[in-house]
Amino acid sequence: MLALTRLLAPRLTAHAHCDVPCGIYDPSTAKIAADTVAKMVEKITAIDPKNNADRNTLVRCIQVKEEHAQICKKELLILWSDYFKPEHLEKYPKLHDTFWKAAKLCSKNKQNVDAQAAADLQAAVKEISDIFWATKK
Amino acid sequence: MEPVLRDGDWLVVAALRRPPRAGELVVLDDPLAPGRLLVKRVRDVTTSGVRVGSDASEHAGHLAERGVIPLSLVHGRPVLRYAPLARVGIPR
Repeated sequence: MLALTRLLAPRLTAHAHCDVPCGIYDPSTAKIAADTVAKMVEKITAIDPKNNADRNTLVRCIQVKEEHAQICKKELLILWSDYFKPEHLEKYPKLHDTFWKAAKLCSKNKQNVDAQAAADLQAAVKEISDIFWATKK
Repeated sequence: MEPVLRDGDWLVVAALRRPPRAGELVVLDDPLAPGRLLVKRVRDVTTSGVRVGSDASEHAGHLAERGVIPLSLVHGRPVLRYAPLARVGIPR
């Protein structure tokens, strides 16, 4: 059987995917972005908006929070649409729902200063990260 | 190229004996990486070559899909997928 398989095996490989970046997927970028969102929420909550000296920091923290919520969403959507395949969905039937809820959490964190939402986003990214690495085993 | 082709599919490729037609799958040299073969779908045929694209939208940004690829780089057409056994058939 092995000999037959060897005999029939293709001699050349043709690629159907994009050129260099294809196959390089990693949820760590989403994790760092989610952690940054949580850190910014923590800082924003501690700032006194009436203190003129803190106002600049407040604006910067809000900007960074929104940027990283957007980065997190983008990175998650890349994993969802490009990395995960139908066979993964068979093994993880809640995959679509998990990604959809995580993307919604990114939006919620962009719009609000909400420690619970930030913690929920970190947990959602961790769940996706755990699934991702399980598919690599 | 999913769902027609998946990673690891084994294909019989027939040498190109006529110009490719729009809608057909073709095997071609990657114009950006000599020696690397690609399998793509012909989008349209021009007097100077073919434009190709992907079935899977996430790979639509492949640089090789932009511009006209000379016919000298197009080698053949996949005519049979013979493995895995569950997916044996004519790739269209």
